[in-house]
Amino acid sequence: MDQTDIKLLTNLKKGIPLTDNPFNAIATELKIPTQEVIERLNQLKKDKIIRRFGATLKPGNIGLSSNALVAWKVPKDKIQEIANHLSEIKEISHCYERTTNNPNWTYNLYTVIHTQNHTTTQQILKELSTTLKIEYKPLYSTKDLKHPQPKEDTQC
Amino acid sequence: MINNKNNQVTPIHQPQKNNTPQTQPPKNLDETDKKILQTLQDDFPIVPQPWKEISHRLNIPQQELTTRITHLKENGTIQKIGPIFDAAKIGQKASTLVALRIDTKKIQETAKLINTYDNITHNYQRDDPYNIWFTLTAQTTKEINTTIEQIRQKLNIPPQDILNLPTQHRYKINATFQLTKLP
Repeated sequence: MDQTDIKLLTNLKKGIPLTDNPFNAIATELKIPTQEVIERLNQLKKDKIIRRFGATLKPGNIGLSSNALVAWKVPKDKIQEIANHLSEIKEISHCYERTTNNPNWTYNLYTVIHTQNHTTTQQILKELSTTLKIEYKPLYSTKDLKHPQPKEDTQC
Repeated sequence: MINNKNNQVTPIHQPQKNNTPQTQPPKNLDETDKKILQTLQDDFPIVPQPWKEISHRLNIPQQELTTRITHLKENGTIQKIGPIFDAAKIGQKASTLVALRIDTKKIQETAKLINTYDNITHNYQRDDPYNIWFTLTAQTTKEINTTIEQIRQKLNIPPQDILNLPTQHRYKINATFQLTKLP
């Protein structure tokens, strides 16, 4: 990976346009042929530097209305085992171990879960908590503050 | 036309109970929308003319395809179409999750300020006394701490109202969803 790759990734962070040749603009900007942009992107994907190339979907708009970050309190010596177990759950998209700076907030494992409704989320979490014997705190998302609501902004 | 009779999948939409959706969901995602979304998410062709390629693949005129994609972007279903990569792989080696306890009246202005920083990857309002949660990447932990301290000072937040939860280990990341089966 070189500087051009880094520029390519950084400039495409916001996505590609819906024009016939969506990679032409970035090619011009980086002063390389479009074909080279295509080759570089495919190579970056092959090397797993690009994890995925494609659309990022908003779960709430495709029927997954219940989205929660869930904080778990896990004994240090069990963290790997429990993290692996949680990672197997298909409704769980993210699973991260984190340290904390606050003695009153001692949660150390964080997952993100998407389901059709809060009832389903609650059921899954309750079951996991019972099976794994760990405490948790669900933090339901009520608003995406990074992606403007369609009414406020209809850019594409 | 697309023949998908042998590939019927349980619709993902179900009646909502005890739950208010976060936003107004699109009126209807028809089977064509689902196929488009599934292709854009899972099997995007990195070629000079990807829309043309997808229109051939799904047997939809390119004009109709781009109209549908435009609409799905406008109603927020598609947030972006592009590369998803680990910030760490381009030198952003430190990352954290930050929670703020903010007066509910100040949520909007706080969100606005947070979003002015580069390398904010997610930013959500959540149903908790800690009501704003965002993720942040940077080249170093020092840089992360500086950014958090700047935000804290600009908003005049007492230290106990901020959680800084740096990433120790990533076990899973896969935010893709099944809407339909592709032929």
